[in-house]
Amino acid sequence: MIESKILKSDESCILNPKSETLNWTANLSMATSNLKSRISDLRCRTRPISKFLLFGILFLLGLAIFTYAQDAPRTVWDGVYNEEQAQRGRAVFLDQCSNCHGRDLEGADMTPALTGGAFMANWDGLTLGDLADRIRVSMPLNSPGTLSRQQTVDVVAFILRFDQFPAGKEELPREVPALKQILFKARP
Amino acid sequence: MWQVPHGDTPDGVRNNAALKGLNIPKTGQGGSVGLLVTKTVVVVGDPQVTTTPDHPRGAMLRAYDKTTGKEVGALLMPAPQSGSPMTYSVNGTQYIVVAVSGGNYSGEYIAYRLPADAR
Repeated sequence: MIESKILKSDESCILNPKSETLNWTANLSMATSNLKSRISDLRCRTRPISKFLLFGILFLLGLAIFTYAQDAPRTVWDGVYNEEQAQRGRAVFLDQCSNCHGRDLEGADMTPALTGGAFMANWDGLTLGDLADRIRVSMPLNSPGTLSRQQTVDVVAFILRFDQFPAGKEELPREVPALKQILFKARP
Repeated sequence: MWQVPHGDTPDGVRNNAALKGLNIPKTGQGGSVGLLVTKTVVVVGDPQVTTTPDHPRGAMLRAYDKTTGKEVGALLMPAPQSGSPMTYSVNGTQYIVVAVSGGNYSGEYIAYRLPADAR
């Protein structure tokens, strides 16, 4: 009588691929009592269901966060630099960049402007990480790589202020991965 | 003799919410780019990057009929022209070389020639 009950419980476990360990528990209990077999029978039916639910909830939560992140990336319109940083950037710009790019960022024959339609169009859809990288790798033309990371992002902040993107409370971060999360958009 | 808008309508104009519903003709682009004149055509690149329904992000190198201004050819470059195009010939094959850079695309020269079956 006891054995037949245990066998029945074993079958239900075998049919469920997620319950090998419980199946093993049921086998061990064969010689003892049908109480244990009842417990394992119960566990073998209920555990896979709760696991499924847990994964389902985690998946939906992940999907919601992912969707939110996709829908709302930060852009240069979200006040991503502050006034103090732009002031520091202005000093670096006037010292290191304005000879070629002009005091009003207007550019010259062979030097691109850092304001106006062409600048906006050429950077639209890229990130501040791309802009900082470009400066860091190639500027100033006569001695690339001599600006510190801090000076580089300060210059980016100054360019943003000059181009009338709104200032905020926080400074632009120095780290390129963080800067790559901020989208340059010509329009809000 | 002739005058044509040069360059795709900038994205900032084409996608401007305030202009939605209006039929904006090709505006051309602001910018300062050099050009190359041959016996038959004028070759000049777009000064700005655009992303249009017709092409992915990039800028076009265009050839205009010298007598009419009609566009007779265009190809996509990864970045806007940053110097004047020039042309040269090696073993009977003609090349056009153009300096490009802009946005995060660092400066480089690109040389073009016609495919072998069109020469």
